[in-house]
Amino acid sequence: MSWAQDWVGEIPYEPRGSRDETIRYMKEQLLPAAGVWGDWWLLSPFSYAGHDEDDLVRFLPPEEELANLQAGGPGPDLDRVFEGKKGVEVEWQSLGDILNHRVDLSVHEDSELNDYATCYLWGTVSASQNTVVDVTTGSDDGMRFWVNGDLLIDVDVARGLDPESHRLSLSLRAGVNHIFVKVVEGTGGWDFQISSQQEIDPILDTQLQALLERDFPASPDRDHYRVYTYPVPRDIVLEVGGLSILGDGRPVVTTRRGDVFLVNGAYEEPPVAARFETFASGLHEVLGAAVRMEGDTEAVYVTQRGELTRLVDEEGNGGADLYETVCADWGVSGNYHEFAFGPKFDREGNAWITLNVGFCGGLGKSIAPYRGWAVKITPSGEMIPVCDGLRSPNGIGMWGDGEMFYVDNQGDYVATNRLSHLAPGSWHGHPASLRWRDDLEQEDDRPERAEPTVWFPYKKMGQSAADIVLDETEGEFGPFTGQFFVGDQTLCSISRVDLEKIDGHYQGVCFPFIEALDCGVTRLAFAPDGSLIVGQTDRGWTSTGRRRYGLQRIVYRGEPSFDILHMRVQPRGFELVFTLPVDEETATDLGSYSMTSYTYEYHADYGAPENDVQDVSITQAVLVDDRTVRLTFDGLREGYVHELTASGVRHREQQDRGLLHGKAFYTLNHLPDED
Amino acid sequence: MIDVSEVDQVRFGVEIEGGEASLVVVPAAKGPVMAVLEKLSAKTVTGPGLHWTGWLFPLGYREVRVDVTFRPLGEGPVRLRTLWESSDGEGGGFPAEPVPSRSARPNFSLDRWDYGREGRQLLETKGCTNCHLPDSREEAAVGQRSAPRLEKVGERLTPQWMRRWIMEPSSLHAGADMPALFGNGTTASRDVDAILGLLASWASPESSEVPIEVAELSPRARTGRSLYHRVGCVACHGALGSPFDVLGYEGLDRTRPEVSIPFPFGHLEGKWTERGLDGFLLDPLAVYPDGRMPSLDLDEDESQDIATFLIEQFDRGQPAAEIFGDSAEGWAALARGRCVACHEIPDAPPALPSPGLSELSMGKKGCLDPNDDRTPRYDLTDEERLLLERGVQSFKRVTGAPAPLDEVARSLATLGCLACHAADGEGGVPASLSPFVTTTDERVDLGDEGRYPPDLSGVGERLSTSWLKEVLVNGERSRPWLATRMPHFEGDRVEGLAEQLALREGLWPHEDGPWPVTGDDQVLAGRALAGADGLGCVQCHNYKDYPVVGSPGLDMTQFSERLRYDWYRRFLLDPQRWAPGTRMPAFHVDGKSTYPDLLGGDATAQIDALWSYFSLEEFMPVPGGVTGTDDLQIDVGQRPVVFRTFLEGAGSRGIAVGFPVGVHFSFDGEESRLSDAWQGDFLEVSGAWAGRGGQVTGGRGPVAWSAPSGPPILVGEKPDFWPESSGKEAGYRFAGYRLDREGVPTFLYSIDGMTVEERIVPKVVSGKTLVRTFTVTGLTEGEPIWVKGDARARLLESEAFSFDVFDGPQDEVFFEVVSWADGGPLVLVMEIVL
Repeated sequence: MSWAQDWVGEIPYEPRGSRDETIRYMKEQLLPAAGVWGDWWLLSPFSYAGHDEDDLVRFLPPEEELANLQAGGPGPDLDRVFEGKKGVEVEWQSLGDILNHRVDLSVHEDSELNDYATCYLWGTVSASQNTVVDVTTGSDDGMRFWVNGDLLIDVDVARGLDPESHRLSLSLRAGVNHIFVKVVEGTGGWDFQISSQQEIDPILDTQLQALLERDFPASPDRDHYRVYTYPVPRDIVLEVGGLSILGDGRPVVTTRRGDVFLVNGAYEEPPVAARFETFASGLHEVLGAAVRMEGDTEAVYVTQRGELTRLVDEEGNGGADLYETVCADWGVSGNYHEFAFGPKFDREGNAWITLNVGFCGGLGKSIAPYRGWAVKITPSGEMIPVCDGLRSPNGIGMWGDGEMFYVDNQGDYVATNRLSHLAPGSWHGHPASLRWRDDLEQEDDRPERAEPTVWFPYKKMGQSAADIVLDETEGEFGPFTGQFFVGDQTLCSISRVDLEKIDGHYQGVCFPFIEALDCGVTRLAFAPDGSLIVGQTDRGWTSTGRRRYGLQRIVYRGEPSFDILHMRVQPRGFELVFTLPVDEETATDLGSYSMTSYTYEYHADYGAPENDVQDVSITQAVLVDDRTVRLTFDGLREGYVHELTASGVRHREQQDRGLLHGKAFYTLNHLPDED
Repeated sequence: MIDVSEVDQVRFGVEIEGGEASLVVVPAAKGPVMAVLEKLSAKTVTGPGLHWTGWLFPLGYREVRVDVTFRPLGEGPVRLRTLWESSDGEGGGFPAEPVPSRSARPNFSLDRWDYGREGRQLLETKGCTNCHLPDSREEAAVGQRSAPRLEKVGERLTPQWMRRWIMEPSSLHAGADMPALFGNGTTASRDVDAILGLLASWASPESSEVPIEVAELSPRARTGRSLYHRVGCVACHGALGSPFDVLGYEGLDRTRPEVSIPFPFGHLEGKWTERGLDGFLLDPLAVYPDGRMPSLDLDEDESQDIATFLIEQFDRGQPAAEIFGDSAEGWAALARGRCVACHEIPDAPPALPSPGLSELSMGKKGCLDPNDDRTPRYDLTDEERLLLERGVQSFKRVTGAPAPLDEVARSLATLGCLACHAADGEGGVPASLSPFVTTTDERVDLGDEGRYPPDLSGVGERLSTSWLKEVLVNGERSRPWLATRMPHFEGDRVEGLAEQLALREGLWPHEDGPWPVTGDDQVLAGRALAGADGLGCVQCHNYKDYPVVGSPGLDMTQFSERLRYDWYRRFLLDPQRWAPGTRMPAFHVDGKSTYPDLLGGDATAQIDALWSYFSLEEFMPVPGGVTGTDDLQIDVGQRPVVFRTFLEGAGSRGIAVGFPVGVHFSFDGEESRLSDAWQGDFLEVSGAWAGRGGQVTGGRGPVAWSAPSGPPILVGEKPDFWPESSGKEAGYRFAGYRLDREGVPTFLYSIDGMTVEERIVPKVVSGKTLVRTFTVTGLTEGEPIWVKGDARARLLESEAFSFDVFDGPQDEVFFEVVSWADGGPLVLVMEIVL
């Protein structure tokens, strides 16, 4: 199958004027209402005393019909005549098909009959077998709603029509089913609506999303990367907490609900045949997974709130049967925010885990041992606390030199999200964890605070950093081998981080990479083919995405974006290496660049603004080779983020082509000496 | 002075009713007056409405002063509000907003605008106006403050403490509001004893109350200590323990300014009877209607807890003395002491008249003379004496009713609001007490907003007057997660405060708007924006009492009732400007929404649509993402279900196992022990799966059996006592579990070289039974093992071992098992009848 074909299921796909219009149109095509809906009938008006009188429940003669409205039974007697409000004769009137449309019930010429009035509606839906149909309904004002004589809705309120006031899953019997509705009105509009639309089938949605990405790319980065959406079955809540890849290439996906799934057929484009197979379940909020080959045994290590667990399929029946507790030596007081992240394995086979502080009241608390620490678990299961001062450390990654890094989230003592080096004994600024240190003499003593390796300026470079993955694809994912990718759980985006080590100081730069994914990014893992699997959930927080959880895959299209590949510090400036050759004139024009620098205050308050902002003036731009420019600046400052804008630089051949991402944020901890 | 250093262009305006105003903007720094300012000089505007200056370009000026002169025209009510607006010419800046009332400095002809204000307050606080009656409207505005009711005082306070209090109040409480009235001689002593006798005759004191010798606090007192430090007592009276002792963790906040304790305790040792203190805490205003102590709406348990704590904390075994004089002489003594001037005593003759307030002369005379035995002797500082003099003098200078600015300041001071609330940069809980400011719901993730009582700066401009009234008078609360309780005030003391708060901001109390035009389209758009797929308001805002989607926050169905629309609009455009450090994010940048799919992404239109939706209040249709039920029941199907979670009885490493037969159990993964069994519903897991999760999972059917405490199994000689813990420290190691083909877990754990595999399954044949099978390996030959059970436990006999049964305390049973086999695995089967 090619990566996108012009049909979705059996329905032809037709692009319309915009992404939204196309979605609307395709939904109409793909969502025929379940069941066969018959015509609707109206019986109106009867009297109504008002909402304060509790009058909705008053039994009126038409409700005698309810006894007849059993599944498979006859409908009401449509010839019967009732005495209605003000003594008018009331008979059943046909409304025809009203499904998915508002029905204006103010049908009487005498306006007094449209206020303080009651009416009845009756309709049928037939099913070929016992089934469940999802409907939404609403009324202006209150209503009672029966299906086959069972009362499902009973609300006596004054309200305007909201077609989705009530969401119901109707259990239909094979054959005809009766829906009987009583709608009352005080004064004003008098309306009713019933709709039956379901979510697009996940597999069809996978196909549709691929077509939409083709015709209406969600972001310019899609010129270089394709984004696929996996079809998550409706009975799986795939709030991704952990992601790893089995030796046979199948992604392992763990969820906040405690399931571990294997994804079969993950690499078709689009992945319409992907299937989720349960490997383990019942675990306690699994926020990380790592696959290890141990001799002939393939083990899946997962981190639950309270322990590092080794899952093994000993019986070979496709699911784990051994749930082995490898280490449970960190404390869990029961605070809701005591998350445990990891494991990520280092080269010695130690599993690294970061432990969130508890949240209650204004500041993070370390109520139980090693909250706010990074620990490593040796292959024999021993826990070694490594360093502390962590707040909400939602992601660990190993750089090319074997050192471990983590990302922390903005909050108390954390000015903005950042990536930091987990050096043994280092302290990253959150004081709650200091309780578990034994090298402090005074209660108020503070160790030296570690310098963050890379700051992610708030909003510009994300709002909730999550997970770190190292590009070791040797070009299969684009030109970024050796660099980190970092997810963002709020903005549904991924950033790119390039590190360097200058005179013993880790520091580096972050760039925007990809945006407009489906949901908040929580986990990243490279597949054997060099594509990037992206796990997502935003439960409990919020994200800008269209969905509340999911799984996507990002595939390189083979043509690199025009971007800054490296930004490397030099004694008096920075060297920029671009992914593609640059136009000499614009690349050496000082006006093509601008830079500001700023830093952050360290304090207990939640987050911190960019502080002490200064313009940094560029004095020289020299072309080194066709992809490399050296920039010289006045007034570089250690301890500051240097925000570079390079919007003027143009591609060598395509003069109207600027950088895809013209921004770079370099955290300058240490300026190298001139020599 | 108004800081204009960060605006490119700015203009000021006055909104007036019932008068005329002129407005002059004067640059603060010396230098050439900006040309544009000259045009404005002395421009006078009349007629109701909003009048703006032209745009000003304050280049180079950090601050400007805005002089507003207002003259009422006619007799009707008048109103003045000063606004400003900024623009950078490119859509930046900020829209028109009021200049905060705190920056106003009325320029009266007095040497200070608030001349005599504190003194006038002191006249009321010290009860001066109870004897020196006011003559004019201005004087009457000071108010009168009654002293506590004395009917049952003999039950509340100990006689020895009262004796000292009446003789010399300042010896028990420096700066006491109660003056000394009886001198020092023997007559005085006899008078006081007679009064004590009279007070005792009105009450039925528990004279035999035994003083308490306290080595360490009782459990009840420890609960009381925790309450004292959490519900707000600490804010007025100071800490009585370290944060670590009281809360179990250190506070770390050192960013708040230190301020003094507003109402420090006096000498409490031996003051209260426990019953009396309990009653007082439960309803302070019943005893002391004009007291500064409000009701914290404690329930009976809570008041008793705090009373017990304070008694144990302060009562150092005072002897209970009976020092009652002749009550018959008490009436005469009361009259001599003029007690009835301040204390309301039924049937007592009125106090002899004193000079009126306006007849008082200046100087350290009468009550202000600390050595004059013929008048009440107050414990005043020299500064207070000066303030009182100024207060009296100010009546000659101040005319008319107090301004709202004054009235609000007076209310905030006398009600003690600033002990908990910051306002206009003053007050608030001091830094040293910050750790005690907590939240009752750990899911609340609002930072300091989630634990500190809200800042009251400009509150009359933010909240609707009707809502302020609801809060002040009717006890409505919008932040149930604050551990600090908003006190409950008597109606007449807060009557009018809600209106005054609005008037202070130059607003008519009950007017708001104009509200945006509302229609179905706006409501539906607002609903979509509020939902999880829109701007996601539901993530941090409650919808009625529906389950919280993300973390708990202010209820969105109360917004339009609580907030003034104008402030709401400005707040949403730039939350940080109005509440620096708030967790409320800005959803709009430069007028563009971060959610572009509705209403063209136009910020103003979206904010108004949300308001239209919010204005339906309790009839707001449910926003997306909110589910009507938190019922996330796990049903057990054909196979057993294992679910690990925070579980009552099984701790933070709990493992629940459900079986198709409807009998389920939990295993404590921390202690390697079966903890209890229940029947019926397996588990309702919304605590783990809804919102941010991490809550204790519940919804179980009734617990049918709970395991006896401690580890189930020990190795070695008969232990002297059965250990309480089987955690890591005790040497146990939990190693996980293995699922068999049926999906039943076998738990793995070890102790002292002994490895245990425990499989637990329910059996339903005749009655319900839990069958535990222990497979033990690694035993040393001949060494017995011990298994703990209870009266419902039975160890099945086996050819592999012999065993003895020992009865323990309660219905505990111990089995001593000796294996016949040599080393090989020993299999024990225990049945527990549920």
